[in-house]
Amino acid sequence: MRFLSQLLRHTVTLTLLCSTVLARAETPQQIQAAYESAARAQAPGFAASATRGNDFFHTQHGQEWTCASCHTGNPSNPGKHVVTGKAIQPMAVAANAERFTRPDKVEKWFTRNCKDVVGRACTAAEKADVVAYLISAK
Amino acid sequence: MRNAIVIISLSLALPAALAGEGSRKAPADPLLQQECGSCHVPFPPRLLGETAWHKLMGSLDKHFGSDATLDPKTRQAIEAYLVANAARQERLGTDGQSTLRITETAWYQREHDEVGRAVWQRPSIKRASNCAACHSQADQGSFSERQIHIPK
Ligand code: HEC
Ligand code: HEC
Ligand code: HEC
Repeated sequence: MRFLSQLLRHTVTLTLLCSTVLARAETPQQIQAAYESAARAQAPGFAASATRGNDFFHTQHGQEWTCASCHTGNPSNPGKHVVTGKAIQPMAVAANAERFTRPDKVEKWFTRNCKDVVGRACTAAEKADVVAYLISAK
Repeated sequence: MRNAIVIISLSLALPAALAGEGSRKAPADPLLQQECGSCHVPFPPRLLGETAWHKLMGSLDKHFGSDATLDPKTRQAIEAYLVANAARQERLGTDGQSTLRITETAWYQREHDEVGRAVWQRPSIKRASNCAACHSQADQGSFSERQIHIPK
């Protein structure tokens, strides 16, 4: 019973939380712009580059996996989790309209996947480049 | 607003209450499904004990070689759900030690002992944790015997 009431309390907080998150839907361009302006705090004049994002996505960063290990070499295709084999929807915005519309979700996965692939958090500049790449990928 | 909260609470509390401890039909929680079903199928809470779930949820940054970090609120909500629907007793490994891997538990090994060794090696299955290879509704949290199809 104690767990039940605990569960209830959290579920209510969560339901409220979810509605705020939903209200914060954005476009991929807005998300790219937010990372770009964060990057400019370090490097004034920074502009996101799809070409740099492409390189970043497909090369190793001192660890075993690349971003492409799970998201495949072609982001317009569905991917596959490298360990579990579970299917992953395409990453290219052109192939999957839900990509880069939920800032919290985007941050959550950048945080996790950069730790696994790069061994540290990605910088705002790296994130801006990756988003630019996935917006431009056909 | 208060009414809305009461309705939401009831709709969530009811299945949880009906399922009871150790029940075979724990309700699939949407949050669990979303957050724990993105890299693999959402494993059913009743397949591990409370202690194991607490330990697993306390180390999501080092989750079987992957980072599966959640924000604290979401983590707490899922942990409470897992623990509330956990196995009545800890599910120990075949060696009698505690384990965070469902596939290492004596229960899992016993339940699957009729699946031949060669079957697990098939490329279509690859890993014992790939429940969905054989349990066609595993991504909805259902493992009923009627939905088992072992792939070639
Ligand atoms: C070990 C597997 C794996 C690797 C490696 C990986 N990802 Fe992911 N990624 C996932 C999974 C699983 C999801 C969530 C499933 C989904 O959203 O379809 C995801 C989702 C994302 C998302 C969320 C996008 C959105 O708006 O829905 C971003 C951003 C992302 N990954 C970026 C990256 C980047 C950048 C790299 C390389 C640094 C990377 N990923 C490497 C597995 C991986
Ligand atoms: C970022 C990806 C990711 C997310 C998110 C994730 N997991 Fe996992 N999980 C993994 C990987 C990778 C494995 C190892 C699979 C293997 O070795 O076959 C794993 C394994 C497991 C296992 C052991 C399976 C076995 O072998 O018996 C359990 C239990 C588990 N996860 C529970 C959870 C729970 C609960 C959540 C939600 C809080 C969660 N996972 C979220 C990636 C993830
Ligand atoms: C190689 C195929 C295969 C894989 C992979 C597999 N199972 Fe099974 N599972 C079976 C078979 C076959 C049975 C039926 C055993 C029987 O009839 O007694 C079964 C039975 C079960 C049952 C009991 C069902 C019931 O209604 O009594 C559960 C629960 C279960 N599996 C969970 C899992 C979980 C969780 C995973 C992943 C961690 C998994 N299984 C992976 C083949 C598989």
